[in-house]
Amino acid sequence: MEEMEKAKTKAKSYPVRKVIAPLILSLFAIVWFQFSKVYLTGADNIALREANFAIYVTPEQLQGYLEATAWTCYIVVYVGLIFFWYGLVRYVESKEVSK
Amino acid sequence: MATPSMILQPVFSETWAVIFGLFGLSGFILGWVAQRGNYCFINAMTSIFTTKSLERFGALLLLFGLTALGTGILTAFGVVPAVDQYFYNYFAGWYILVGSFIFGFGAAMAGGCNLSMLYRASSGYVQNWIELFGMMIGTYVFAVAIWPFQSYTMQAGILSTTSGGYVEYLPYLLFHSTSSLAVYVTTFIVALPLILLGVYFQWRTRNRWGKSLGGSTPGLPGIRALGSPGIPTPAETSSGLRLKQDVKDMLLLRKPYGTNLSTVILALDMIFVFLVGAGYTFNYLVITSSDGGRFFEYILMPLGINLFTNTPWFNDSLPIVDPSTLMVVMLCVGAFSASYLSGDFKIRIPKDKKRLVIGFLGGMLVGIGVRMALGCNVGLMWTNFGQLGYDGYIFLLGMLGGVYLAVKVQERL
Repeated sequence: MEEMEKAKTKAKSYPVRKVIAPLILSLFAIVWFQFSKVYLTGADNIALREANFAIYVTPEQLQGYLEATAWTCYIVVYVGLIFFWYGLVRYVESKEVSK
Repeated sequence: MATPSMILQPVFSETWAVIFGLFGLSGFILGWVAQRGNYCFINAMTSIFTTKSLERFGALLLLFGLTALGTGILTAFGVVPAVDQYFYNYFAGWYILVGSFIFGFGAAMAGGCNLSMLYRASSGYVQNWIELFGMMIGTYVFAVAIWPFQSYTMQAGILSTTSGGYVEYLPYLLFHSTSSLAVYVTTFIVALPLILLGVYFQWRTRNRWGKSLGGSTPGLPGIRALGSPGIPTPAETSSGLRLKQDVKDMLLLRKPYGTNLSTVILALDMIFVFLVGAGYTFNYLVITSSDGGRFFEYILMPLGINLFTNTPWFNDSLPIVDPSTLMVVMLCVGAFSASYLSGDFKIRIPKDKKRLVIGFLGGMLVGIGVRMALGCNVGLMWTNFGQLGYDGYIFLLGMLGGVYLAVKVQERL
């Protein structure tokens, strides 16, 4: 009986969502960084042009933000890809076992 | 008597990249711990009126008390200058009471405070995605319909203070001083009652559970084991083993964090931000300005719509980017990571579609409420206890009122 239970658990397919989720997270990190670089820098330039210093961010701060975002992006992407590969291997394994 | 300084003094010499990075790290911790501890301010308050349980509300008071104690002691001993503690104290007025009431009502209807909304949305709860979107719309409604009137009353001092900073700093209000001694004494005046009340509320609730369960008290086994030195009895040995097993299970994400463990980690997270951001930026945890206002603005940017050029509030209250931006993004990453690694992550669509509509409308009220109150349960209420101000008490009162009303309304729905 216990053996059957074990076999059942083994045969259970690894959820696809668990494979895709880290990939989506990695993509999100890349999109976020690109968005920051393009749109937030552009928005800051508009704020400067309109002399709206209530919302304008100094170049040092903006550069710091972009630098921190880039590093965060690297970490999230690498960790995300590690989990993606791990999930993919588990998924293929579970498919083979179920066959 | 000299007027207290209003010039920020940095504690550490850091680059902006480091500050943004550390704020991102604190956001990650906040998201991770809140997800693992299922930490929700609204649940803590609704349980007072529904299950008559003060366990989680007691944890909230502990959180506020520990935060005030930590930031207060750092300031009193001169590690952080007093100006860095009070500089970002907001105005106080009618809008905090009204806003927190609306926020409490909306959040209880929608099913989550600002913190739980984000970590649940990151764990796949569609209702909280809708709530988040509703909050963005609510922020816009506030900006065009309410903010012009509210800012007029703030400038004119109608049921409002006309400045923040040291004017709202409790050491200054009580002792007309921001000296170390004044901060030290005020820290204990604020922190001790909150901590003692929190512990008492938890003890009372556990005692009641113990009675109703025939003497077996649920809770943290480690806390009970701490009070019994000497040769371990078999019961103590088993409780020691259970504690070890609990720690192992929590590290391996098999078991959620206990409420008090989450409370301590969250308080330490706030103190960490207080220290590393001191003298540079708003050195407290903050969520609402980003998720409600800034992200709505960001979503519209690729469409060529720049709210900051022509919309009230967006054009005078919200810098294009600040450390809280990365904090909120990383909060979502932290919550997602915790839910994914523990196996909790799943897209969950409520069967009853009415919940989505209520989520959206509740989210709108949350957006309006937090903007009126100048902050949410994290960025204003919890933070203000760390600032040794009094806005947190007003917010707590208003929020409890809103939650109570929502519970009564939900009983009739």
